[in-house]
Amino acid sequence: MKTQVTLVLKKIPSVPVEAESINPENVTEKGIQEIESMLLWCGNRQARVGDYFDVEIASLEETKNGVADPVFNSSNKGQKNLAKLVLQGDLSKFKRLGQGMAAGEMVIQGSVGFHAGALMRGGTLVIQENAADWLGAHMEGGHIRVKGSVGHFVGSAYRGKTKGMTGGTILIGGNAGQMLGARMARGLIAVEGDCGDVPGFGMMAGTILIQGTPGIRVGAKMHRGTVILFQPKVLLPTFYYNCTYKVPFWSLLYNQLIREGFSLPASSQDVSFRRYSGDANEGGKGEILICLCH
Amino acid sequence: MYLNGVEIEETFAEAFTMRGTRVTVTAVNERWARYAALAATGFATSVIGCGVEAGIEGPTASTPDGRFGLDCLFFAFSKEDMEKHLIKRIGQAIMTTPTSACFDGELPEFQGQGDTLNKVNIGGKLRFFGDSYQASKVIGNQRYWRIPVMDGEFLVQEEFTVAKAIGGGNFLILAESAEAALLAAEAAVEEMRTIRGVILPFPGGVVRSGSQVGSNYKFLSASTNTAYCPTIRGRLDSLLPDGVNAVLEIVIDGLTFEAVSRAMQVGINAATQVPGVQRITAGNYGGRLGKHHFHLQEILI
Repeated sequence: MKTQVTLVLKKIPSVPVEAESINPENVTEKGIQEIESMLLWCGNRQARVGDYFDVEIASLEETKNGVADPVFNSSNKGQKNLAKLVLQGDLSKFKRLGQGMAAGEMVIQGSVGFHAGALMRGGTLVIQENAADWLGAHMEGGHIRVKGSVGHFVGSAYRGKTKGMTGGTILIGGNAGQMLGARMARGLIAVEGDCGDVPGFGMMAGTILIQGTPGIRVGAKMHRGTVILFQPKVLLPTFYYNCTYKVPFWSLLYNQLIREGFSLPASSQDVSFRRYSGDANEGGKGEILICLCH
Repeated sequence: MYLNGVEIEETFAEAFTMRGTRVTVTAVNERWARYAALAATGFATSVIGCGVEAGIEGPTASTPDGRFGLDCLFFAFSKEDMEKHLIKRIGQAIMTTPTSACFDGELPEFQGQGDTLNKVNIGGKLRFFGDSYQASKVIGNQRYWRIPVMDGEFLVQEEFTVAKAIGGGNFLILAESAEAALLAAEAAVEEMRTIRGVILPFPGGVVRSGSQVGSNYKFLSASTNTAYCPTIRGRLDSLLPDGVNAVLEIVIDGLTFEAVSRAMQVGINAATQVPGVQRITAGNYGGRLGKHHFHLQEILI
């Protein structure tokens, strides 16, 4: 029977905690004491999960709510034996939650710190409030859904690395910081709100969608890939206009986003886009599509 | 056995294992989707002469891009043949049609039998038409290729699903006149086209030049079905009963045994209601060549 492991925050740490050990795979088939004894790093001091969380384990009725989260539906086939992991509380000081997770469901009922979902390979990570920088950095697969806003460098490459996220989906309900999807090489990032400067910096493939107002220098140094803007924006001079047309793949992407609970105006389902190619300094194989739905 | 007063011969249709795939063609409206589908499934009556057998299955219930779509079924002898012919047909017939797009229709009939399915790479090979300006987009778990064309972009899915299917289900309508045979065949086809998972690859769903294996000529592997040709009755061992002056055949390709059986059932039932039909029979090779046997009397029970 599938279980739900709930970690309830009982003490906010005074310094950031490295919590990459907390993910669905690591808590599955473990008892409360085993989970409480899992190791964390609090600054330069080793700590245990039990130092900061109360642990509860309960059986999970899969049909409890009648309709499951569509994100879960789309990603968790064959993973029914993994425990669902729920974390409650303000986890802004907990870094690397869900880092490297490959399967299962992890729901954070609060905000999270840096690097949440970084290096993630599969499964679903839902963050019900905000996330700090480096969300989904180097992500390879799976789904991240943030209902609030996120920091800088979402889905990006770490310093010195050439490729950011290479797969998976990051959906953001609020705003995003700077360098969204920097050097991403596949995958999808969609932002319902605004975003900071230089989204899609050095992009190599994949798709970024920004519904709100983007910062300056959209797509700077992008080689390939697609940035979709819902608000008009003055682009860098290294992007040149191609045409205005109905993009055939848009309806597929629109349907996927709607299925996953991302909010898009119905009027945008069948619209034309202005297409720009660039960055011309990098070969010009990337594209910025500006939606004409406004 | 008699159905609607028509004799149903105690025999069976002998069909073969083939590879089948479903291709969904969409376009800005039904007219252009149909142009593309008709072109793609044209000249695809017999796998021997055309390399592939194909037909329009019907409108797509829900297309990936939300536009009007038609499902087409293609049948070939092997996965390799399927890939070769799909590349040609999608490239020459669908990509050339304004506003069209092309998707793997998937095969929900085989749900839970994933190990029996194969993939053929179509979009990944057609993409070179883009002359290095093509681009791909991964949406969900599927990769699509965007090939620049003069009205915008042609969108084609990279891989199409192929399954073991059945080709060559058939029955013959023996009638007292060519007019009666044609009316009966038309009635049968109309009913059979309501069945999903099957196509009738011949023109209008009907074939008049049924064939037999072998020939009096050494260089020919198949020739006209002499036993059912009324104009040479008496010159050889004919299978035509007295009073029969015309025969038409309906050939059925289907994804599953059940779909072919059901199509044959409704088709025979419709044909036997037309005045002038004297007998229904089926083509076989004594059970030696084809794995799938559709016994007429069992189908109709």
